[in-house]
Amino acid sequence: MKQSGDLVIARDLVIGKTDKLFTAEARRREEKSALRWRLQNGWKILRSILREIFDESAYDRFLQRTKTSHSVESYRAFMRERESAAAQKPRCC
Amino acid sequence: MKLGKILLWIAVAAAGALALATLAWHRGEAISAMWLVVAALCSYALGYRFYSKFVAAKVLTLDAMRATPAERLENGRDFVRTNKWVVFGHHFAAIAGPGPLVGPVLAAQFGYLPGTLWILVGAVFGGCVQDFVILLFSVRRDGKSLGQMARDEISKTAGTVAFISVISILVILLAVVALIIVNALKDSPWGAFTIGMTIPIALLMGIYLRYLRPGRVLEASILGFLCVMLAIFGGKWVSVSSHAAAFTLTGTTLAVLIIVYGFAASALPVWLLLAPRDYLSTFVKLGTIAILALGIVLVRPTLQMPALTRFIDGSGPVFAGNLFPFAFITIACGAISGFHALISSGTTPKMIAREQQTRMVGYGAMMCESFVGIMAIIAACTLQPGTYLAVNSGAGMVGGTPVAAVAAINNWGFPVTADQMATLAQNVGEKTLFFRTGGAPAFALGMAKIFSDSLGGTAVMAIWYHFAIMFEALFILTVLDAGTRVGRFMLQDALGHIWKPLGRTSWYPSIIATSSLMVGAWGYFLWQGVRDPLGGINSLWPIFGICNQLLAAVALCVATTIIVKLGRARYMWVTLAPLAWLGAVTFSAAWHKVFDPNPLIGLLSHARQLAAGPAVAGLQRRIFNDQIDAAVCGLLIVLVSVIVLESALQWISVISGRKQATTQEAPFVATAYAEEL
Repeated sequence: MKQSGDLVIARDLVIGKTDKLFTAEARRREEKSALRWRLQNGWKILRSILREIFDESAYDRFLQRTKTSHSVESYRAFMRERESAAAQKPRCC
Repeated sequence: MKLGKILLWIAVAAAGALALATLAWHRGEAISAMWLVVAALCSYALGYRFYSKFVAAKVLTLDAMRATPAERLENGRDFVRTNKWVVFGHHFAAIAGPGPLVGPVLAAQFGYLPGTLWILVGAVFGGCVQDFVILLFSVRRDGKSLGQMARDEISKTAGTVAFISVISILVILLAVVALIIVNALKDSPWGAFTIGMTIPIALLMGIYLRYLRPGRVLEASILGFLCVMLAIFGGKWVSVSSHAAAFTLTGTTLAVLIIVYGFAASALPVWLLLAPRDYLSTFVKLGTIAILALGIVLVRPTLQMPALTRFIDGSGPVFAGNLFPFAFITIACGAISGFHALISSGTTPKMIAREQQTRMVGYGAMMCESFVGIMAIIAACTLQPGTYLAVNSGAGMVGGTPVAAVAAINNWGFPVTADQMATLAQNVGEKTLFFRTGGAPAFALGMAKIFSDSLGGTAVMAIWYHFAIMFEALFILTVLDAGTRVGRFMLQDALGHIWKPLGRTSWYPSIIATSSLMVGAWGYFLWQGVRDPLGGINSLWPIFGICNQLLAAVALCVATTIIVKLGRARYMWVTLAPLAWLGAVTFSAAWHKVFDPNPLIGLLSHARQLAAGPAVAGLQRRIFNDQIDAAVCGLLIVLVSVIVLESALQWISVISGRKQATTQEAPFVATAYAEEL
């Protein structure tokens, strides 16, 4: 089944649906793990954004597409491929 | 909507209204900048929740089942389905430039109120809508550019006019941003050294990325950032050493150096200078904007500038012109910027995974940029008005000496003394802060004040000031080299239709010729700005604002035409209203700039005044410069009038039923990701 990154990264947390039978301790533990999950997710998203902005993800996709590994030659080929696209990318005022 | 949510939104609306009312009615006493922050955040929240949702549902009818080009044409290169937050960050990094920092600082001469209201209203009803609709329409046309959409949806003439408008705005934009750097760095050995060092740092990053650690861009950017920080501290040492003279440069020397730099950046391989500088600048940009927001919230500075100043009558020393229309062209980015339409129809539409994400990316990212503009207003307005005016006024406007400037500014009712200015200059490690037009030094001062109040006090104010100058200059140099290169590619593309080899982007004679053309064009305007006794910004920034808003008018013409062709003419006011406002603003501003009888505003009357005055060196050149600026304004107005007329004819034909409406949308293809919905 196809899934975009959205569902993987930004899946909604199901909190507040705690069973009435849960003890206060269990609820606290659940909230703590939910917070940890949120923080981890936040970090994951931030890292993904930075990797995309800084073309690291584009390089990974290039390696995947050309079935090559991380090397000086493959990065040179990647930069050559992106040369015209990068040069035409406007930066706003 | 549940009762709790209704009450929440009523509370948000009430808080926003209270903050705006406080800002609008407060007179006489200093007021906390937090009112600005609250007014802005509440306006954005309401605009996003209600207005953008209305536009998405009724006007654009976003379709979750429709496959986007990132899905249909996915190739792992340009077309890639990307997480919405990632596209959001990518888009924001591309649209946020020096414009929302500089424009609001300049417009602060009218007081904090006009700029704030324009930024909020302009963004919610104009800029955000423009970015959103252009992004969606580009997504539905396989990521076509604004020029292509103008050609396809309006006419071939419209496409050509859009092309000329884009080239013109690029030329004026690059000249203006280069002038800002020149004015910030002249006679400043600390600043000149730090900014000069960013060039070898970028080159080193390029070599590091290509040969040492290929592809580790984040790592290289962090190292680059650390080197830049070292350069800031090194600049302090240089400024008091025997080498200071070598870095104490005049405006004309700096202009020549920047022109040479622009040419080199356009002709050198992308990996060596352009790409690493872009990475470094983005890294610094995102970090500094976040720190500034945090600083404002922590310090909660007080606004020293009044809500309105006497300069709303057009007699301002920062730039001449009445509140209407000049406040609205001075602040472009932050409220509405035509340049954004180029980004919204560039790389972003090729990354959108689902149509609904265009709302968050297009509308939401522009809201964030608008908030950057609000932060710039806060930074400028936390300065004492007298200090603000002493820094931002050209020597020709307030007298050529600090004593004369202080007297003039005090006469206007804004107290400032030469001693205060000398102490401030000493605190930030500069010889003088008088006549530093362009907005960047005033913004850096405000930012340094906010930062030093929260961290380190006066002792580190100089470091914060030069950090802010470095941050702005890095921004601007990135715009300069990327813009020159984009202009070069556009010229090559156009000239290739005349003679094929000129269109080859790797043919060196063509690279040299087109780079020279582009650099020569913006270099000319830069040179005239540097030699202008009024500071250059006085005449060039309004022309840049007019160009930028005219480009927005082109984008809104395209959007309105598509809305009408889609059979939703009853909603065409969504784009037509901002278009009408921009038409009123830009056409009247251009009229004033060309024909106003006041020589401080009208270019032709200024040329006449010069001709009638005593013969001095360079008189003919200055007269010619005024005439050229007037011709550029006039030409752009005529060109955009053509697009508006052509668009209006299309709307009338379609609405009256005389013409069958056909749009160039890509055919509907159902998404393969339906199960995610």
